[in-house]
Amino acid sequence: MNFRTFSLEFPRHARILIQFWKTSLVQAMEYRVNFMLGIGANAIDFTIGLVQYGFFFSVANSIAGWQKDQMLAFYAIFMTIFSLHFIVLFPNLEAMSQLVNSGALDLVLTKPISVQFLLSFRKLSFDEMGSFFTSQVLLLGLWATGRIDVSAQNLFLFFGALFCSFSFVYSFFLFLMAIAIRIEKLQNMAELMWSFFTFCRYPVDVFPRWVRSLFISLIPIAFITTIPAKALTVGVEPSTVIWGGFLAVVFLFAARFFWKTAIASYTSAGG
Amino acid sequence: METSSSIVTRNLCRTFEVRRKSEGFLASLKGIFWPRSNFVRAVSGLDMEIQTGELVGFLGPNGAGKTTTLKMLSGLIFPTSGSISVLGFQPFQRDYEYLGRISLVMGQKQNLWWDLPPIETLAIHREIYNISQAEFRARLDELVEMLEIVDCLDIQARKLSLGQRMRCELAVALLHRPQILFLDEPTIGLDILMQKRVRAFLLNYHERFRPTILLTSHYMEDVIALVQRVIVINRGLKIYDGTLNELSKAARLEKILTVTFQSIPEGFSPLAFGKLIFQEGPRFQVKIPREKAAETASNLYSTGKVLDLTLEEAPIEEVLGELFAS
Amino acid sequence: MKNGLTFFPKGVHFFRVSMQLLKAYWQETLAYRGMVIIWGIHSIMVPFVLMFVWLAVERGSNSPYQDGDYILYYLAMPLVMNFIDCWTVFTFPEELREGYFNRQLLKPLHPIWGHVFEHIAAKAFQLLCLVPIVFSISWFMGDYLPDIDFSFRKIALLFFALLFAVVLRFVMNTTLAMTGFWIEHVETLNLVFNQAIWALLGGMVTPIETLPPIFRIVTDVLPYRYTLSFPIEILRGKISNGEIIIGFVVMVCWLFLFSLAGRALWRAGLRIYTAYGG
Ligand SMILES: Nc1ncnc2c1ncn2[C@@H]1O[C@H](COP(=O)(O)OP(=O)(O)OP(=O)(O)O)[C@@H](O)[C@H]1O
Ligand SMILES: [Mg+2]
Repeated sequence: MNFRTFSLEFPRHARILIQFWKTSLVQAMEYRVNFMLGIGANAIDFTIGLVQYGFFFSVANSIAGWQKDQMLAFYAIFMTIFSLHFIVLFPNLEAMSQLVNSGALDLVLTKPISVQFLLSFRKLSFDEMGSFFTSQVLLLGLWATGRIDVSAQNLFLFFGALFCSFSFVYSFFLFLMAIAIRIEKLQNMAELMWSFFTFCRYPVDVFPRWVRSLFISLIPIAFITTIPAKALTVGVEPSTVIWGGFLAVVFLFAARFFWKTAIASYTSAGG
Repeated sequence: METSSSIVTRNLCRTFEVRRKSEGFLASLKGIFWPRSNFVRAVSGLDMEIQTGELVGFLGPNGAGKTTTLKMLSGLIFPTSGSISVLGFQPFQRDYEYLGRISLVMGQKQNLWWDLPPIETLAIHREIYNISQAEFRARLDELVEMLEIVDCLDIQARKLSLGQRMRCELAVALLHRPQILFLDEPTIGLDILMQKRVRAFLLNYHERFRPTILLTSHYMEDVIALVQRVIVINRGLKIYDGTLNELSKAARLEKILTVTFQSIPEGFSPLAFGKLIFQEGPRFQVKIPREKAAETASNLYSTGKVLDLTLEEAPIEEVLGELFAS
Repeated sequence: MKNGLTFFPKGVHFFRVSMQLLKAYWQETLAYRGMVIIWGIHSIMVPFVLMFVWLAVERGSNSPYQDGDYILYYLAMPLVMNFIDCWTVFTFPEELREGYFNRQLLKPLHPIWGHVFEHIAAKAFQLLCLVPIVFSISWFMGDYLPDIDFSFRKIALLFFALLFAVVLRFVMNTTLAMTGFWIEHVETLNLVFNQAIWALLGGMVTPIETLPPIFRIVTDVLPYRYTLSFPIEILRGKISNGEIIIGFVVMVCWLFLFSLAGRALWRAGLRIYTAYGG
C-alpha cells in the first residue's frame, strides 16, 4: 500500500476500529460483574507480583546490578507493556485459531478492508486494565517520591525505546498470527507469546554475556523491557535506541511479509 | 452494459495438498516426522462466462468443487492455474474496490458476531463499506421488510433460530448492495417453508436490483424456482452449461409416460414399450426412450380407451444423478 | 451412584474402558502435538529464566542456597511441573459454555475420567519431549550440580511426594473448575488463587527453603508448597524427616478437604445444571 492510498484509507479504518472497540465494550458490559471481577483480579495479580519482589529482596541485595527501586520501575514498565499486549493484542491472537477453524476467516477475507489491521486489533479485553492502571500508579509513585529521577533526555529516549518495544511485540504477535493461519491445529498461540514475555520479565543482565549480546543485537528481547527501564532509571546511549529503531523496522517488515505469504497460502477448509 | 460478461474464467484449476493421517500408535508417531501427502484436484480446467445480471445455478454432487470455485471467485484462495476476471478484476488481488462490489454468503459459515445482536454486526459493516447513515437506514429498512426480520435485530445472534440467522446473514451480506453475489448453499438446513421464503426473497431481490448471482444448492426446488441457467460440474470438470430445460435433453434420459385407461385394452403390456415404474389398477407409469415417445402416445390414443395420458421429463434429481454417474 | 453416572464402571470393564480412553486421548494428544509441545517449551522457559535470575542475584551471606542448589532446583522444576500441571480449570468451564458437557453426561461413565486420561496421555507425551532436554542440560551442567544420592528410601519418598502432589493439584484445580457451574469466567479466579499465589507460595519464584521463617509459617500450612517445591526439596535431600512427615500429613489434610468440597460442588452444580438445562 503506498502513501496515497494509506492516507485515503486511514480514516475509514480508524472508524471501523472505533466501531469494533465500541462493540467490544458493549459485550464486556453485558457481564458487568465479570468485568469488575476481572479488573479486580488483575489488580491483585499485579500486587502479588510486587510481593514477589519483597520475597526476592528478603533474600537478595540486588539483581544483576539492579537495586530495589530500579527493579520496581522495571516491573511497572514490564507490566505496562505486558498488560497493553493483553488488552489490545492477546484477545485477537486467542480468537485467531477459532477464526481459522470455524471458517469465519473466509468471510473476513471477502471484506474490503486490511485483514491484518482488522484481525490484529478488532477485539479488546478489559481485564488487564487493572494491571495497566496499577502499574501507572506505581510508576507515578516512584517518580513522585523521588525514587527515580528522570531527565528530559532520558524521558525522550524512554519513549523512543518504548516505541521499539511495542513494534517488537507487535511483530512477534503478527508472526504468531500468521502461524495460526498455516497450522490449523495449533491452538493457544497465546502461550508462545507468554514464553516470549517470560524472557522479558527480568533484566537481560541476568543472562550470561553471550546471551545478553544476542538479546540486544539480533533477538530484540532486551528492547522489550530492559532498555526502556534502563532509559528511565539510569539512562542509555542514544545509539542503542537508534539500533533498536532500525531493528524494529526490519522486524515489522519481516512479520508483514510472513503474514502476507500466509494469507496467500490460506486454503480455507470446509464448506 | 446489460450483455457484458461479469464473470469469466479460463482453464481454472485448483489443487489441494492433503496430509495423510495414519492409524495406530507407531504409524502416528512416524507421521509426525515424515508426513505424507496426497494431492486433490478440486477444480480442473473450468471455463465459464456469466453475463451481468444473470442468475446462474451451480450444481454438482458433494465434493464436486463448487465451493472451491466460489472461494476463488471471491478472492479467498488463489487458483493453482488459469485465469479469472470478475468485473474486470482479478479476485485474488483482493482489491478493496472489487471486494466492495461483491458478497459471499455461505450457509455453513457466518458473518454475524456470535455474541452480539445482528444490528451491531450491521453497524460494523456500515463502517466497512463506508455507507452513509441515511443510506444505511434506508437500505436496512428495505432489507428488514423484505426479509421480515424486524424482531431479530436486537437478539444475540447465538439465540436466533437457524432460519432467522440465515436471513440476518443475508441482510448483512446485501447491505452494501453488491453487484455480484455468491451464494453457497444459502438454504442448507432450513425447513421447507423457510426455504420457500428465502427463495422468494432472492427472486424478489434479483428482480429489484439485478445483481449477478451465482448460486449453489443441493435442493432442486431452489434451482427450479430461481435459475434460468445451470452450470453442472463433477469432480472439478464442467459437464453441462445451459438452460435447465435443455438439461434433460442433454442427459438423453427417457421420458415418463403416465396413462389411465377406461378399461385396459386386450393384450396390453407396458413392458412392450418401456420400463414399468408402477401400476395401480388401470393407471400405468412407464419410462420410454424419448425418440419413441410421440409414436407410443399416438398408438395408445388410437386404442380409444385412454382416459388420460401425460408425457413428462424425468425429475431433475434423476437427470442430475444420471449426469453425475456418467 | 446418583444421576445414573457410575464412578467406577463395573469391575471387569473398567480396565478395558480405561485402555480405550487412554488410546483415544493419546491419538488426540498427537493430533494437538503442536500445542502440547508449546506448553512443554513454556514450562521449561519459566524455571530456566528464574535460574539465571537467581544466579545473578547478589545474595545475603546467610542464604542456604548456593549456585548449584539453584541450578538443581530449577532443572528439576520443569519435570515436576509437567507432572502436576492440570488444566481442568480451563477445559471444564469451556465444556459447560460450549455445551459439550451434555455429551459427557450422556456417556455411562463419570465425566471426570475423561479429564484424568486426557491428562495422563498429554503428560506422557510431554515427558517424552521433556526428559531428553532436561537430562542433556543437566549433563552439561554436571560440574555445577551438587551431589545427590539416590537411595531406595529417597526414590520411594520422591515417588509418593510426586503422586500426592499430582493428585492434590488435580483435585484443587478440579474443585475450582466446578465453580464454573455458577461463575462465567473461572479463569479469573484461577489467575489469582492458582497461578499468582502458587508461583509465590509454591516456590516457583523463590525456593521455599531460602525464605525467612515468617514466610515459612504461611507456605508450610497452605497447599501450594506441596504441589511444587516439596518433591524437589526431597530430591535435594536437606529436608529433615520430621518435616517430611509433617508435609505428608498436611497434604493428606488438604486432599481430604478439597475432595469433600469438590464432591459437594459437583453434586450441587449438577443439580442446577440438569434443572436449568445446558
Ligand atoms: N482446504 C482444503 N484442503 C484440502 N482439500 C480441500 C479443501 N477444500 C476442498 N477440498 C477438496 O476439494 C474437493 C472439492 O471440494 P468443494 O468444497 O469445492 O466441494 P463442493 O462442490 O462444494 O461440495 P459440497 O456440495 O459437498 O459442498 C473435495 O474433494 C474436497 O475434499
Ligand atoms: Mg460446498
